[in-house]
Amino acid sequence: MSRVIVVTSGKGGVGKTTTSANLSAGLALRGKKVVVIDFDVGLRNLDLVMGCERRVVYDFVNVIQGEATLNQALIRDKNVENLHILPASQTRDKDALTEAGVQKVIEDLKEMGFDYIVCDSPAGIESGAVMALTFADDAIVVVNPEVSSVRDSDRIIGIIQSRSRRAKEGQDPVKEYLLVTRYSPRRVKAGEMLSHGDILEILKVPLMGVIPESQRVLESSNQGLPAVHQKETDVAQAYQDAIDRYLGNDLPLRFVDEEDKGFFRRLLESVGVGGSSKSA
Amino acid sequence: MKYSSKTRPSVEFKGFETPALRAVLREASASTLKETLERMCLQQPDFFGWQPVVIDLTRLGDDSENLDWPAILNAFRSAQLHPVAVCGAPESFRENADALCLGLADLPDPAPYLSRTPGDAPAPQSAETSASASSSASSSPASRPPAPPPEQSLKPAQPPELPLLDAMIIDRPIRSGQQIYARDRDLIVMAVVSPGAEVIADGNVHVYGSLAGRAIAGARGRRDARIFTLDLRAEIVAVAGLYKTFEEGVPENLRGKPVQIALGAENADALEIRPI
Repeated sequence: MSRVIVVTSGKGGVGKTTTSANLSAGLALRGKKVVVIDFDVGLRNLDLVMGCERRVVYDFVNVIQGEATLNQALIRDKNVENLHILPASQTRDKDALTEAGVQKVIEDLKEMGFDYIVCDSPAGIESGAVMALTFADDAIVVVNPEVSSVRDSDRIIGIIQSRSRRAKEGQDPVKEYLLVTRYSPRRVKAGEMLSHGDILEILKVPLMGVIPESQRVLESSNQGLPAVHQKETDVAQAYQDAIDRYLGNDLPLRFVDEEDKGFFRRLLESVGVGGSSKSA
Repeated sequence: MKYSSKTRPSVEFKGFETPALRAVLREASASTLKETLERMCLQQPDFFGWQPVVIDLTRLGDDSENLDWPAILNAFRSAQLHPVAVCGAPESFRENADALCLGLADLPDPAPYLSRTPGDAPAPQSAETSASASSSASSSPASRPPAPPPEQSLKPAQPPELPLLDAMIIDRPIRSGQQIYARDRDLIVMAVVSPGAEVIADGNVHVYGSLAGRAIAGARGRRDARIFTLDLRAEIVAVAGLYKTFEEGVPENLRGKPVQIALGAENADALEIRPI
């Protein structure tokens, strides 16, 4: 039975696309058949983050408008078997997405046997974001430990609860998961940042994981290789933990406490040596 | 999702609450209506966004017999309003509704006191805190202000005591941007109300959790309505049109503990906040 997962946040720039990329790659690495769809029509970047921007021939809008088949538009990921990407159009805008069109694409993808259909939402609460969450079974709400991000996430959760298909048709509600990204234990300790506990208090949505702030994320998107492939890094491990929790395994949270590092270790890390890539 | 026909019927009726507007017509002219609506939507064509509208004919008197219904309905729909019913309709409407093929429901007249107010909703008056109300020359403690003469009135006349229906109970958090209105009854929220959310009731508002955002009790004028909460963090609270903001935050002595908010027992023009 396919699950449709929307990765959304309300606020922009918090890590939705990074999370969509790592989530899909991580699930595919576990043998699941996954497709990830970029709903940010006109501002596409999922293809960049996944490293397939030079292989985009047809896109989501072409499929909806009948100009191409799904098979023509889907791009096979080079790094992981079972992972496909459906890129967005860069030249059109979000009005090109229709609810009926999106529904048909998702139904066709289900028939192709995908286990997970990950919808990378654009920022905001307008039609693009609503389209991405309309058909969701699960919602991963990405939030930064910062007040405006938390406020915007609260808003998008309310919208999921009222405008998803599941809500409008009175079915079981969309299952919500909270993912805190760009977490810095040092800044939390200094009182500059909200802690994951604070965020949980305010939003009251089950916590799926905490991803630490890391330079790896920028390097990954520059290289077009999701961080989850670099297994020894903290970002990769944090995403893997989060995916395990999504799949039902209860794991303790890592990367939420400030490590007490000696001077020498910090020196080595600042020149890029050592397993963890946390900046001092 | 497909359900087996053996387990679920082909149609199921569930509840659906949505705010509706009531359009009070003061003139019987469809063309004037169309012009007025066009002006309202000039800046933003989807200003109304297909909200359902109930057409209120109570102010038209005899003029309501001769309305050009197709033109009136067209005027509303051109403004992205969705006419669903009329209220205050004359007998002729009820008799001829089928002949007119309007497909509009006929609702009972709105509550009697509404037709006595000279204007529309009263302008909210800022309330003084009970601490500074000591020297105000208001009415004596035990009595309510009598219904003022129409030309001076700013507040609605004291409404008749309408019976309240069962309370509306919500047991999940009210998220930023959501607005809940419990019409003709109390509202009970068994979770938090987020900043940017609004909880409104014609009766009392009870929040068994933190109350941020806005809370409005006695929305249509009940002066004995109250707001109760376990933890007051609201931006604005109001009872029967009197509102209070918290620019400096909630006072220290009231923070983090159960409080109730009501019109003052001694000064009915002040909003009092007291620990429970």
